Amino acid sequence: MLLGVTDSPLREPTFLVLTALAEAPQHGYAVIEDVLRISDGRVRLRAGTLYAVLDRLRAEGLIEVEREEVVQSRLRRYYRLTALGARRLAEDASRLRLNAEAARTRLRRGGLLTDGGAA
Amino acid sequence: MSSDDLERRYRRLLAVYPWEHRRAYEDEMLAVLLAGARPGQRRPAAADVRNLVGAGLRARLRVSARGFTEPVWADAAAVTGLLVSLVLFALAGKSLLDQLLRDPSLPPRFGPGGVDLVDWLRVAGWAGVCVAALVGWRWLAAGLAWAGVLGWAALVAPQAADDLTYVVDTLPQVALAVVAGAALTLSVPRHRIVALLGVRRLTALLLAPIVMVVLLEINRLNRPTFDPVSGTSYQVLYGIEATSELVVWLYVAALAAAALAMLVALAGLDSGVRRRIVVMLLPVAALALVIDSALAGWATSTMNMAHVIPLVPAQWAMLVLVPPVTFLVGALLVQRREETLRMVALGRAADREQPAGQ
Repeated sequence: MLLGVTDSPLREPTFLVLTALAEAPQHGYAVIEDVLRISDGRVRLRAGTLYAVLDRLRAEGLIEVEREEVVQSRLRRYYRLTALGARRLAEDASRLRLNAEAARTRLRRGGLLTDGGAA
Repeated sequence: MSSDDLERRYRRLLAVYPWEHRRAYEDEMLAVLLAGARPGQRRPAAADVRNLVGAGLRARLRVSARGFTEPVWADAAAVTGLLVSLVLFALAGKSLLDQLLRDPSLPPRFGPGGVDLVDWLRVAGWAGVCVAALVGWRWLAAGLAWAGVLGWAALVAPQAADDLTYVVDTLPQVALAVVAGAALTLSVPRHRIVALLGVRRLTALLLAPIVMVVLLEINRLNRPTFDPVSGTSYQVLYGIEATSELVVWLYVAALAAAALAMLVALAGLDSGVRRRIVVMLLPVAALALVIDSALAGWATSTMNMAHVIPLVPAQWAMLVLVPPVTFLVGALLVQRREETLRMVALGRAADREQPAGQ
């Protein structure tokens, strides 16, 4: 399937934010911590990056605000995936899986990868 | 206390974001930033400062770029594109007529150098731009305007080595051509220009530059002939020549009336469109001002020397940077003013709903 302009591959922070929201709605700080966990400590989102991603995802209709609450006089907004967001994440996950499988197959055929890792 | 300091500093940093973003996310971002702070932390971490400033500036750029896609910019671009093309057509026409019609006041051996293909192409090209813009063939109009700019780059710019003052003198016209090309590239779909201006205002805009060229040509062809025996009394005002002061002022009045007709035609437009037309024309005015003032000394020195005096880097920088910076500052001021007006209107609406003191 050819990708349209609006269906270009998700960038890693965007992919990870959508992944963090896939299981349950979360607020901003929880998303940062979850992304750190999902990426095995590799991706630490900063507030500026996180809210640029959230703003764009909201504008594209991939996420929405589930609820707002005030905790210790601070605003906390929970975001959740929309049906469109879930579909987009699923599509990107299978694209990445196919690419990863293709890479592993070629590496194995070339004798550069054994079952245990790089040869 | 340290938490208050940190909050104040983060708030100050978040001011780099546009107001739309701050209204939607500022409190929430602040909560996230404070939740991630170390105990006792008083100053934002350097990485957070870099991240917030970078993201804030990118958000501002996005909002500004989105502003240029508003219909009011497209309307202003359509009118500016046509207006500038008309002016360039009139200038090209005047230059052609100057070559074609010999000034009878000149001595027999003096006269124009003769018309070449480029003079005809220039008039035909800008006439084509005007017609295409009027009919709504936007891409043809824009393409012809950009071809004019390329023509200058191919034919005039290479003369910089021998005659730099001439090339610099032509820059305001090139800037007008760039404005025409850019405005027509960004303008709106077909027939919008007639709908925007109305037939009467459009007619005034079309006729005024032609009338001005005709008046200037009539004046040129009726210049008092110099008689070395009996002498001739004549008056001159900015190149308009006549035997009496009254006739000079009649020419000036007629030219002013034509210019006024153009201004009146534009004055009837929506104020937002008018402001943006000014913003699009200001870079050309700023460039002309730089050439006439900051580079006046250089031009005079060059004319009095046997060789070309090169421009220093600061002078090149002025020529290159002044037009785009003027445009950006103008666009920013328009955006600011309209934001303020919007806020005032919102405040008034809120006051009407809940009058102060209740």
